[in-house]
Parts: sequence; structure tokens; C-alpha cells
Amino acid sequence: MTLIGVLISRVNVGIELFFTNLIYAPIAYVFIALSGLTVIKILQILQDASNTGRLNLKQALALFGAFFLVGIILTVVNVVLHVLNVIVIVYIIIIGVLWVLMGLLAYNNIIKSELIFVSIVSLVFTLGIFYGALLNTLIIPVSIYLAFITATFLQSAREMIKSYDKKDRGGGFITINDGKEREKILKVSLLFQALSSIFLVMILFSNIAYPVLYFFVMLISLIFISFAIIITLKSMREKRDYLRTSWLLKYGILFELIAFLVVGS
Amino acid sequence: MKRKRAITIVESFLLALLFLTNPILDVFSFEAPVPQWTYWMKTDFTHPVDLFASWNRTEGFKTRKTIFLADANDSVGWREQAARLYLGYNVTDDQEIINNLNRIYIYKDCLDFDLASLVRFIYLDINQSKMGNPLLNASLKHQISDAFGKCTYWYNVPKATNCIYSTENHQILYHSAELLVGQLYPNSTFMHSDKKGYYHYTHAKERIMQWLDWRARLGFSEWHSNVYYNEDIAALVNLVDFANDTEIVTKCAMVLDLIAFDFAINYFNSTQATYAVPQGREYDGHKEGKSATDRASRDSIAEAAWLMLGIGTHVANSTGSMAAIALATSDHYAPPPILEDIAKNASKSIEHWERNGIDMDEGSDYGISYTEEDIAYWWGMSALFAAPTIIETLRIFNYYKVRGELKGGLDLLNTALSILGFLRGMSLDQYANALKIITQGVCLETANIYTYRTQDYQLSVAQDHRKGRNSMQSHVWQATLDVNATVYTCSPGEITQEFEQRWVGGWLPRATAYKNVNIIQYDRTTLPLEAEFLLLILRLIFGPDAHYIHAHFPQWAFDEWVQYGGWTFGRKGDGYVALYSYKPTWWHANHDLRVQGSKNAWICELGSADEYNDFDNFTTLIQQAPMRISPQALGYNIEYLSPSQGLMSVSWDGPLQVSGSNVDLGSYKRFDNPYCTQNFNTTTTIITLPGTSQRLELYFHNATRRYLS
Repeated sequence: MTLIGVLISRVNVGIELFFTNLIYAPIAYVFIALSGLTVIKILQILQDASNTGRLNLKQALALFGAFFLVGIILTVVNVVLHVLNVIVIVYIIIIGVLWVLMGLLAYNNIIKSELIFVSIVSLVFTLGIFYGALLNTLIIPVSIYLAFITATFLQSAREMIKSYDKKDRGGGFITINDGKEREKILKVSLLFQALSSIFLVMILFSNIAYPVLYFFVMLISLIFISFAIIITLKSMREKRDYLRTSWLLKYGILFELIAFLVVGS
Repeated sequence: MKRKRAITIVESFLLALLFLTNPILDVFSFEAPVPQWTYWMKTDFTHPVDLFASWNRTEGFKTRKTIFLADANDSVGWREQAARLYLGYNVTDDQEIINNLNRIYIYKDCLDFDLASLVRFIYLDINQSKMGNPLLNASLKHQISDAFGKCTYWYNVPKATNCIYSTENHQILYHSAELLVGQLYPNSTFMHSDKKGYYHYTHAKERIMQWLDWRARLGFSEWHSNVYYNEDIAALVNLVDFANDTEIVTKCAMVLDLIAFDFAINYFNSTQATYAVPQGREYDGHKEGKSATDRASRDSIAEAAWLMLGIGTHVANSTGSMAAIALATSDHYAPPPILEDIAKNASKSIEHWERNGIDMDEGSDYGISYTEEDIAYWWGMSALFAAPTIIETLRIFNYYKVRGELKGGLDLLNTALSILGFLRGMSLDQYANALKIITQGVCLETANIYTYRTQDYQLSVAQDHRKGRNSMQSHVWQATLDVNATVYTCSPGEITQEFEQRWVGGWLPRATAYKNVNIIQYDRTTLPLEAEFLLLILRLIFGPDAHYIHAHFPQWAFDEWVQYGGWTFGRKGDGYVALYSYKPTWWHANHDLRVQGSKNAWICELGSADEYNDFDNFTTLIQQAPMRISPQALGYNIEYLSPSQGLMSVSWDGPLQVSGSNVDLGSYKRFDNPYCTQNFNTTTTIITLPGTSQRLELYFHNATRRYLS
């Protein structure tokens, strides 16, 4: 998503800065993303000691700090070397604060940890698009906002389904056994799938490059999402088929990313 | 080792065999086809107007003409045979001339260059015949006439050729040949057009008048072209000498006067004269001076400039210039004396502004449509694929089944652009617009040229000229201390490297100059990804070290040179030059100073002993000059406190400011200098020499050319 952010926002950006950001952005952001995923690990350790695997709490905290520090250092170096806007650094700090905040909310049971996990996993992926864009410009194109919303919804929807699938197979982190709670989360997933489809279509009307090619790729993504919606509905009534739904959403996300790439080309 | 040597010998033998038997390369015994064309040649011409009715050629011109003719007469070159004919001698070798009919018979590109010479041969022979001294053998004349009758003179003739008609110089060469050949055989039917000579005469006349009108109003699209003025002059002198039309003769003489005026105000005439200006179309060979033994080749128009105005020197064995031969063998054209005097007067110092050409979107402002009626103007600007003209160009090429060297490539380009445009939801012209920095980058749009000269140096810059676009052959700025000590920068484009051009064309900078200081920024926006991908492939083909910007700074040409920090300094005689690079540099060769990448800022400041006392003082003061350069998303913000000009500041967009005042970066007048002030898009040129009563008046609208002294 970071690369997509760099691609879409490159109007009136010099070629050298563009290529620099294409290389720097994903390298720096991957550490920020890893720090976010480490928050999930920390919460898992706190919730159930048997989940530690090879890491204890201290090590996980240290890892979080290290990943975030590396990410921020790389960002600062990029900003200083290429005289970029400091808002990028501010953005990274905000993300860091967000991870900590979400962790605290989950730890104190203010929000269900399952939702936090789903949110972090999807935001880790989708917040990168703004990072990439801010490296180029402060004027973020509308298509980037729409892509962020689309990707966040779809990613979240899939994470919910995916974790049910894992749970059914004896893994995962969804601990809700209550059928009604499950129904609720499935409904949320369904809603997110539908919303992502709507925003995916809205991108077509936001002055993008390659609208014809985008339309065809978008269509493929929508087909996958539509089937996923149908199967999700079926899962709510009769037979649970989380594996297939997760699979369909995975390909929906894949073609959604290709569509975003088309937007930026 | 023995096996290797044997292979080399075999390879050499095969190559030699190939060379000797290849009919295209075989210029040593070209067997012309048996003449088939039936024609009648008109020979009773009378020149319609005496251009020397009220004034004479200068003594200097007459002397130079005599010198040149003597040297050309001794030459065995085939074009120089015109000198022999002019002096009353027959050509030395008929076969040599017949060999050069080859290009016409196989319709090879640039056959118009040969047509210009052949036309001159025939008409000079006619003039000699009138004096009772026919020179050319009847069989040779018959063969030449046959080639004329089978030739194609414009794209609208239904005959597949490899000719490019589109450039500004090709246009006047073809039109002049068509008119003069049509005039020679007025009642004969040409073999491919199936039209009589008089049709060709009329067709060409219309085109010539249009071409001359554009030059008068808008200047040259191939502005300051050291290479192509050579062809323009040859074609125009042919028309002055041989056209049977007063208006054409007079107007061509007037355009020749403008070219001579261009030389007079732009040549830097120090130890050896050099045409030290930016140029719309140029080649590496004229700009790159690698060493004392491998210098940049002499300007193609050097002999013509010397003949016309006495600028520079004549080189005895350099008589092959089409323009010089035409001028030397002309009875009807010489530049008015005022121009020779201006060349002397301007040689020490001048500051002037001029404009050539228009932008792609200015057609309606200047009465030039984008349809077939005026398409030649845009083609002359190399604007075949720009958004406003691409569709009409393709329509014309398909309708007339134009082949040309571009045709195969054009079909592929059309297909590729159409598909990609469709995927983008764009029409072909809209997609061409999306690729503007290339499709319009190659166009020779408006050039606002600023020149500042002292007796020790010259700085000449095309101000703010199409920054960030990809040009094929443009040379945008130059600092000159003498003919070899020239400093300029270039960012070789992936496409121009394909054509082995590394010193001209490429990605154009934003160059902004005031007096002796030039600030140059290189950067560009991104193209659609598929185009960037193609450029990346090209870059990989040329190697990772092909991605650079470089400065031509020939160490060997300076009396001394030194580097301090980001500054490189050079001295030649009493002239000094300083060049600063924002990025670290390295010497790729001793004339080639490079930086990595496609973005950089340079500052060039010139000075002299008069201004700084000595070179050490110059280097010290320049080094100490405060500056601040901050990279932006595009380009830089630059502030430079020049020791000579004060605080200068400029960005990628916006004005160049000197001590808080904006510098005029254009649009300039057509001419704005001590000798002529003429608004752009006007048809009256008045040239005076201050302190004298000399005056040259050129009224294009009624074809009046008047010299007063």
C-alpha cells in the first residue's frame, strides 16, 4: 500500500524524488508495520501465557520499541536527506501512538481485543498508503482516501472471517463461542464487504488514470467480493464455509490492489 | 592464437567483399538506369530583378568569394564542381556526379541535399551556354534530367520513398528543387506525379511563399541551427539565383539577410569565431571537444558565415559546404554591407534578446491551423506526435501512403498509443498529451534567447526553455571563452542515447540567465508508468552509468583550471568561467564532468581580467559567494549572492530575481538589440548601425528590400 501511495500521489513530483520514495517508503514502513503486529503479540502474551512461543513480554516490548525506532529513524533520515516535509515524521509518531492506544484499550478490555487485533492487522496494511503519499505531497488525492477506506474495510472483513476459520481449525484468536456474538461479527464482516465494494466503485469516479483498465480489474475484484458476500450470508444461516469466504476475499483484495496500482500508473 | 588470427582474416575478407558488392554502399561505380523520361528543357531564362541596382557587394565579400572559388576549383569533391562550372570549366568527373544520382533513384532520405547541388549544376551550365560556353556533357545532362523527372518532391506523390519531407530544412530544399525543376521542364509530365512541370512550379511556389512568410514573422523553428542553416542557405540562394519570380527572389534574399544578421549578432569572434549560441538542432560532433587532437568539429556554417560577413577564417580544404558553394557561385546574392559592419561592431560586446518559434498551443494566435493546409509548420517544429497534430499527421500519412523512415515506427507507435490511450479512457491525442514531456518535448517550440557578450566571454541561453521535457537535439545554453573553451551542461535522455547523442538533446533544464550568470536546474515529472518502464529498459540497455548529467568542461582547452569544493574554474586568456554543481561531481574524462542521477542544480558565472584583475581573485570571490540551494519536490530553491550581480534567486517555477527585481525570461521580441527592434509576428525588419547612416529595410508584406547608406 505504501508503494501505491507513492504512485498515486506523484503528480508534480520530480523523477528522482519519486524513485527515492519508491525505494525508501516500503523499507521504512515495513518496520512500522512490524511494530504494529508486535502489539498483537504483546496482547496475546498478556492474555494467555501459553501463547508466548519463543518470546516473553519483555522481549516483545523490546521488539516493538526496536521496530518502531528503526522505522522512525529511516523516516527521519529520508526526510532530512531529501528535505521532505516533517509531517511524515509526525504521521509516523501518530501511528506509534495509535498502536499503543489500541494496545491499552484491548488490555483494559475497553474494546474487545478481537476487534483490536482485526483493526491493527488491517491498519498496519492500509495506513501505509498515506505514508507513501505524504512523502510526495501534502495534497493527498481523493482516490487515496477512497483506496484507504476500501482496503481497510475489505481487509478487516477478511480478518474476521479468517480468524473464525482458524478457530474452527483449532487456532486463531477469536475466542467468542457465543453463537449470537459470532452472528454479530459475521454481520459486521458482511457490512464491511459491502462497504468496500461501494468505495471500490467510487474510486472510478475520482479522476484516475486508466479508468477503462481500472473498471475491468475492479470488476474482477467485485466478482470475488460478491461471491464472498453470498457465502457469508449462507454461513450465517446454514453451513459455515469460512475457508472459501476467506479465500474469495483474499483474491478480492489481490485484484483490489492491482486496481489501485492501475490508479497510480 | 593462429586460429583466432585466421578467423579475423576471414571476417575482414568477408566484410570487404560485402562492402564491395553491396549496391547501396557501392558509390564507386553506380550504374545509372537508362534514361526513360521524355522531356523538353527550357533554357531561355532572364533574371527578374537586379538585387544590386542601388548598392554593391563589399570588397571584402568579393575577395572572399574569389579565395573560396579558387580553393573549390582545386577540390575533387562533387559539390565543388559547381565552382568549376561557375568559373567556366567543365566538371572533372561525370561519373562522380552520376554516382550521386543514386540516392535520387532509390528514393533515399536526404536526396533533396543532392537535388540542390544538381539543380545548381544545370542552371550554371545554362548560364554558361548563354555565353556560348556549354560545359556539361549532353549525356550527363540527360541523366540528371531523367533523375529529376523520376524524383518525388513532396509527400502527396503516390510513390513509396524513404524520404523525410517534414523538417524545416527538408521543406525548403524540396520546394526550391520542385520549383526550379518545374521551371526547367514546364510542359513535361513528371513520371510519378503524372503532372506537368508547371503544376510543380505552382505547387512549390505556394509552399515556398508560406515557408518564407513563417520565417519572416516567426523566425526559424530550427533556430540557430549550425547544421541546418547550411541547407537553408543553399536552397534560398538557388531560388535567388534561378527563380523566375521577383517576389520569390526578393523574399529569399530577405530571409538570407536575416540569417546573415543572426550570424552578425551571435558569433563570438575571439581568436577563432564560433557560433556560440543555443541551437534548436545540433549534433554531438560539433559540441564535444575531447582533446587537443580530437576537438569539436568546425561549425557547418563556418564557411558560409565567413563568406557572407568575413567572420572567422576560411579553411582551404573545407569547401564542401552546400551553403558556401551556393554563395560563392551566386551572381545575385550578397549580404548588404551593413551586416558585415554590424558583425565587426558587435564582436566586442553586445547584450541582446530574440525570439524564434511559437508553442504548440499558439496556432490560433498566429493564424496557423492544425490541418493539412498548415501542417508543414508543425512538422517543421518536429511536432508530428504532439497532441494537436498527431491525428492529422497519421491521417495524412495513411491517406497519401507516405512511407518514409518513420512509417514503420509510426504504425507501431499509433497502435501502441491507441491501445494504451483506450485503456486510459483517452483518445489518441489525449494520450499523446499525457506523454507530453516526450511527444511535445521533441517539438522545437518557442525559444527566447538571451545573449551577453564581452570581449573575453559570451553567455547565451534559451531562457526557461521547455524545462523537464525530452528533446532530441536542442542545445540550450553555452558559456564560451573561445572556440574550444566552451562550457555547458546536458542530461542525456534514454531516447537520445539510442541515437548516440550525449551532449545535445536529452532532458532539458530550466536555464535562467542574467548578464554573466546562468542558473541551471535539472529535474522532470514522472511519465505514465508504461513510459517510465520503457525508459527504464532503455537505461538498462545503456548501462547503469548511463543515468547522469554532465558538464562539458574541456580541461585541455583552458590555460589553467582548478577545482575548489563544488566549483570548477577555468581561464582562457583574460576570460574566466566558474561552474558550480550542487551534487558531487567526478571526471569521467578530462572534458566530461559528471553527476549521478537526473536532478541537479548548476551555477555558471563568467568573468574577466578587466572585472577581477586576476584569476586568483575571481576564484576566491566566487568560492566565498554565499549560496543556499534546497531541493524541492520538483527542482530547487536557489539563492546565490553573485560577486558581480548581487543576490539572485530562482526556483523551478516563477521568476528569476536579481536584487529583488524580476528578470524578463520571455516572451521576447523577434529582435531586441542595438541594431534592430522588431516585435514578434511582424513582417517589417529595420536594421541600422548606430553612428552611421546605413539602414536595411526588409518589408516582407510587399517584398521590398532596401539598403540605404
